[in-house]
Amino acid sequence: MPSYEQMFAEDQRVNAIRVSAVSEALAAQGRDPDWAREMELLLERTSSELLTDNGRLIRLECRSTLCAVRAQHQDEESQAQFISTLPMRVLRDLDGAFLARFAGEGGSLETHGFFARRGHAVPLPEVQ
Amino acid sequence: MTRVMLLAACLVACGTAHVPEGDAGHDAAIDAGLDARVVDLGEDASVDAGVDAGPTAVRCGATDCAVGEACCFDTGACFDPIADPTACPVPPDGECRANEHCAEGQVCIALDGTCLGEGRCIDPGGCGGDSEPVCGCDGETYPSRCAAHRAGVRVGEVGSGGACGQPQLAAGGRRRCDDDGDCPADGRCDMDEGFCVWGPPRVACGHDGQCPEGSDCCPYTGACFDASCDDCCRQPPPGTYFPCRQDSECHQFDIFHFCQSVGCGGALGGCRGMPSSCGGELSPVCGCDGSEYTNECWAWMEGVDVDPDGLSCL
Repeated sequence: MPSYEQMFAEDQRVNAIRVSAVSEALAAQGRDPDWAREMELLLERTSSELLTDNGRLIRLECRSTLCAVRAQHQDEESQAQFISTLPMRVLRDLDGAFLARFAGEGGSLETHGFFARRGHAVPLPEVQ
Repeated sequence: MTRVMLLAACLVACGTAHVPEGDAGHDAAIDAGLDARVVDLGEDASVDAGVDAGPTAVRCGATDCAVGEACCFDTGACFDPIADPTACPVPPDGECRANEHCAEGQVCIALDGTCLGEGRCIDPGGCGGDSEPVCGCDGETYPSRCAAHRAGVRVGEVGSGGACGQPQLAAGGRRRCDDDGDCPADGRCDMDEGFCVWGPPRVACGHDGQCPEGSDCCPYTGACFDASCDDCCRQPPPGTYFPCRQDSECHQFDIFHFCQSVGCGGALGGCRGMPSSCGGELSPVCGCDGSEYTNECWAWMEGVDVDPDGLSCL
């Protein structure tokens, strides 16, 4: 059995590959301005309510069927609150989500999230 | 604790083989109440130190098998693989229940880090580079996990942290602290080590003689447990690696591990890591903390069990 450090590194590697792949899929999309603007407002409003003083939104972008959210957190508790609540709040207007925890530079905590438009799915690659 | 670290370092740096009786290192180990036998299966010995190293007796659960017998990891019973192979049949799912179910040179390892139970055949590979001593499920201390596997011996989760019969350092993911305030409510700060700790340290073992007074060696986990506890020694549920009732028992391994059980209120469970990512659609489940989660994965991501009846969320 690998050590904790190995498992953690592998876990982060798999998450990074998935985030990178979905980011590329997002970047390849054109923008549906009405839908994108509506979802960006929803995600920004909900994220702001959850992040309060213990975190900040550092990326928010929607295109035609995907939205990306990236947030930084000051502590594990506020990250947990963000991760558990955000999809519950927004998945009534969206269809499918992927959220991953990351240890950012300097020990910061980051969450990378993606949400898919109704009738679509977040295109997660199989990672070996 | 420092003494433990020094001895552990010496076990690696000194390249200790079987420590002879009367050897200074052996005497020191006896003084420290430790089992000082270390099986050396270093690089040079790797050629002839594979799984089929010869007709040696193996330990199986709480039993020492007769020479020629093998261990059936599923039942924890010895069996004769030649005279009665049906006593430990190969599982239909491609997994293994005994080293004898694997190709030559491979070993049947439980991927969840338990001493008993079905496993997968793996190739231990070469044993080079840095290594830390581990406690094999047979109660022998090996210079590395790889060395134990090459000898056809499993290593339990607790045994991964050091030699048999010794208090184990936390496996990893430890949280640094200056005082108790830096640690979660169910932990405290070990000022000497500068890390949060949860409860007394665990001791890895292969037999009862390696455990502190009042405790026995659990054949499922390879860890000492309170002999008066009825359900502390059991095979953990599938997908988990150590039996538990509450999260603090898992925090000893890692602060990002929790006690996953079916149901709420201290049901028997097993330690597992919290997922670091989750996907999927909205399929709300009720967590035992009374909160709703997007789906099961999201609850586990926060270290929360799922309430199958949903009563916690009413």
